[in-house]
Amino acid sequence: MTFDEFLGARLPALLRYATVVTCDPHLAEDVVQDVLLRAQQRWARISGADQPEAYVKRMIVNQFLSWRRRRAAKTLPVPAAETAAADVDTAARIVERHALLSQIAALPPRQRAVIALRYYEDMSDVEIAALLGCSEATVRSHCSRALATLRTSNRLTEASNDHR
Amino acid sequence: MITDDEIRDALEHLAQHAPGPDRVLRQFAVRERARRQRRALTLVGSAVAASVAVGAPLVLLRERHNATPGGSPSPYPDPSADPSPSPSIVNERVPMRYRPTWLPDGMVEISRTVGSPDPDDTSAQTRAWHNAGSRQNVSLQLGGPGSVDLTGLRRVAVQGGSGWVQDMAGRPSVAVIWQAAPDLFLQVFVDGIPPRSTALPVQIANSVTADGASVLELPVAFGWLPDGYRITERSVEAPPHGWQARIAADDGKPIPQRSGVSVALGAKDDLLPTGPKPGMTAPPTDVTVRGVTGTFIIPNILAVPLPDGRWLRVAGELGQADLVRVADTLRIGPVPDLSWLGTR
Repeated sequence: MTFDEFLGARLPALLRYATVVTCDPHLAEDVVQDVLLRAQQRWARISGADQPEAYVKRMIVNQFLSWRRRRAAKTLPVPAAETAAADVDTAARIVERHALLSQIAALPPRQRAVIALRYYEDMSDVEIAALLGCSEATVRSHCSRALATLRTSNRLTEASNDHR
Repeated sequence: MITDDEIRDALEHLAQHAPGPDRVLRQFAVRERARRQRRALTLVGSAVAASVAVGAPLVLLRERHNATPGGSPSPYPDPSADPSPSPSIVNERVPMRYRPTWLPDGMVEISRTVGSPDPDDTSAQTRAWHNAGSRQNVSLQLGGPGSVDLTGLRRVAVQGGSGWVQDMAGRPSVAVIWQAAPDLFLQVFVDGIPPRSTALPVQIANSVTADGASVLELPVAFGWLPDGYRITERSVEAPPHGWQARIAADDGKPIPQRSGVSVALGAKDDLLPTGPKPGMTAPPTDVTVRGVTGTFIIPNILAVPLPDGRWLRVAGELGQADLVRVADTLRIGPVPDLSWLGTR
């Protein structure tokens, strides 16, 4: 597969992946573009790997984790109040989803990446550890702390709503 | 208590807000141009990715034109060979109002769209072409006065009158705009040219004329929609694995509150997300729809296999019962005339 063929087939998926990992479509665009330029220069080697896409995804995560030091996270671009849905249940689900996305976006970058890889990419702890260059125990630690944060935030939100 | 399903649903929703690949490719192309020139000859035989609507389809387009009786089958079904036509359903045919009579050599048409998210703009149409060799993209867009913002644009002569040029802030893209009728503006947008260069877009714009023959034939149409919904965009285009028809509708509310539903008909690999996969704690939910077993891949994306091998994807901010109702009442006709796809 040439680099151009790879781009044609996988760029939309890479942008979705980067958006989920970064929680920021603008940052995702920058990260992907930067990664593609480097990947193109190394394509002969990358395409020789078993899974070129996995290699590029690893570059995206690493780029995000390195950029986080230079760039503050932007506001999550998902509309905050798509509340006018067809029925009450749907509206409530939309509100809850946006609240959850805001909480995910507020997680530390490495925890956020683990959540994205586990729940969007369905990767195992072993795969995530290999991708992030850390141990499985570290992955589990990131994940459990992230889930604890999300669930605590969720309880606080529910309590706040109940209090109103 | 947050569940795994809720996290997956939220992330899939976030993924739908990913930036489009066309802009990334455009910016990428600028930085890669010098290298590309050196590689130009070797790229002739390779697939080119220039926009989400092109990319790999160009391989298919080329195969299509090179197909011989003994060669690989065309990726586009022969309308007469559709295994499951519905004789009782006639595809709607929407005339395309304008066409360019001149385009750079190598341009092939890759999409036709009618409608826009603006419910008041009934004139909205877009046709797009791509050149695999030069990686240039051209689109011809029609719209009402609300579709253009002429503030601060420089003037240019177009079609014997006065038009406007819109530069894209240092990007290799230029649009030429002119008023064709009191309520109708036309735009020729060219991507892949030096910033601020107007010769090519003006040449194309000067060639645009009324089109009495081209149509967009739509093989899928909405049946039931929630109260207040109106149809917005309908299109046929070339995704990576063949062709895809798409229709969309929404409730017309301002964007932060807007709720909508979209239906895509095409190849499975083009329609279904690469995100959450089956086999985890939350398996996809099967549901009976259109007399077969469909699957809610995530709570608001319903995938339905069709007898002829095509797939439907119904997605939107509706409850699952309503998404099933939308899918059940869709009118699906035979494979449309795709003779224009991949040709001049």
